[in-house]
Amino acid sequence: MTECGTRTMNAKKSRARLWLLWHSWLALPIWAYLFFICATGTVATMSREWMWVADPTVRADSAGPDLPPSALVAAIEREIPGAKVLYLRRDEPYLAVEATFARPDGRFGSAWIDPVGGAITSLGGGTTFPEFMRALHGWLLAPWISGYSWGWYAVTVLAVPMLGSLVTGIVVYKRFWRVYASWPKIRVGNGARLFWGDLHRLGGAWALWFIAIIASTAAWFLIEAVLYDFNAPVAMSEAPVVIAREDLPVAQPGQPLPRADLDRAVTAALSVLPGARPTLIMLPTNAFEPVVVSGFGRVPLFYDRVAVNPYTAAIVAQRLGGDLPLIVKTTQIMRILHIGNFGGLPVKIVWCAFGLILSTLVFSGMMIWTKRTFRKTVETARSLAEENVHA
Amino acid sequence: MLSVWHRGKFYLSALMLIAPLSVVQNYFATSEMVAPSARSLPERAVGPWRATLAEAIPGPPYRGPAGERMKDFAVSFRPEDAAGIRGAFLRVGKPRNLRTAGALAHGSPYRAHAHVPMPENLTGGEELWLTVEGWDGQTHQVVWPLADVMSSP
Repeated sequence: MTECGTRTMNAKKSRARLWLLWHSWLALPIWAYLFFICATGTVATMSREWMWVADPTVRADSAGPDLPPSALVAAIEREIPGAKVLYLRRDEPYLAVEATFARPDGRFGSAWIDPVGGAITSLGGGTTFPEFMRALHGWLLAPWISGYSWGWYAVTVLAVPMLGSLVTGIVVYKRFWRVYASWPKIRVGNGARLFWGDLHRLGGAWALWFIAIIASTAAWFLIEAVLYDFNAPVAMSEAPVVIAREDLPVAQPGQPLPRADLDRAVTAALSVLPGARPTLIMLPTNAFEPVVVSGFGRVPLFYDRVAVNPYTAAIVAQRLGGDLPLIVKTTQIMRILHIGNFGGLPVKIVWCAFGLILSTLVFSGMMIWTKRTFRKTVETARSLAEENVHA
Repeated sequence: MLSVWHRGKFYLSALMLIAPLSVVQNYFATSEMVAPSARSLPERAVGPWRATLAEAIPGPPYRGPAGERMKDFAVSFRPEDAAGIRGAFLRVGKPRNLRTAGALAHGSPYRAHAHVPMPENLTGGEELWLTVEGWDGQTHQVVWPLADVMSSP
């Protein structure tokens, strides 16, 4: 080889080494924390599905037509006198209905209701397993006092090293796309270093698209918090919809109080949401709040939301298919992409499986370093020490 | 000693888990709405009902998304009264009319909270006005000295 060629080869090698060093140092010092976040996210993405597996009472097993929402509300009010239902939530057809309610003492509670029979299958406190997993993964259970929780920042800042690992990983793994053309090959039995190395490269190549989505949506979460906490002059959320006073009935003396007709309101909302599977019904906590029905509708990756006056069944407001201000729309779609709830069970399974691959990537990266770099460093240090002794 | 550091230094980031571990026991324990240090005032009559006012979160006012100073207050009603109440509004200073009655309290019919705009500088003489509207269209008001329900200015 010519002198010129050798120099180019060495320059390329040291550049490659530099990229690899960056790739390692972006993830290694934080791998334990990063692994925890990836693992909790993997669990959280299917938290209701884990409940479905572990607990038959959260399943929607019974055959038959679903009861109207008012029957579900009545079931809660019978079971807990004075309880006022705030949300009725049904994420998937195979899940029962989750109700969140306010107790007369000011606290909150939750319950699962069989959508066909109306029986309350389980009662809980204010915090459910899915909420717990979300809080643990999203903000380390840190409190929200004013603005975004410090835990939110502590978690979302990981998007930066993750993006860095992704980019440096792509650069380091020459022609990674070759693995797509053949069956996954992992050398087992040839030593830990080769096993973890193969696993890491394979996982990285196949999960590339997923890591790009997770890291960039997490980066948005960081941006979103900064925009809010630093009072950026953009609308971060929609102003709450209120019913005008003149659209409310007035109670006549001696007559019973006006009653909200939940079923009529929900039917009116569904008439505007063709083909939508409503996943959430928000009930009013005072006379001026409308009934809000929300679900995935016509446009993929966006929620449709309709607000209805429960006393007149008139539509007060509707937001269909991402008809929102830009930042609000972006925030909505970023969250949906991050948690993978836009395509029912198949997409959730994909998100969970690739979340597992991502978590394994973080872990295997650490194992490679332990088996290769650390060993090598210890050996080099030992041999240097021996030289010094004998010198 | 050095090898312990080299072996274990990359596990240090697991210390981040101290944060959730320290609160996880409390997390499921209660859905208590009132922090122990939050100011809470005795129940008072407002029209035919009775209301209890409290700080929702102790501490100084925070900045809302548009930079405005805000503080959250909680209004509790007796369970038997809640059905007759259309809504409760909280405002610093006497409302001129019903349309400017203040921030609508929401979240629960029994213990609603309102995000109340605060003046930039508090003199200590401000009043917090609660306007409660019934289903008969009648409104009733009660007023507290703002300083009594603020744990810090």
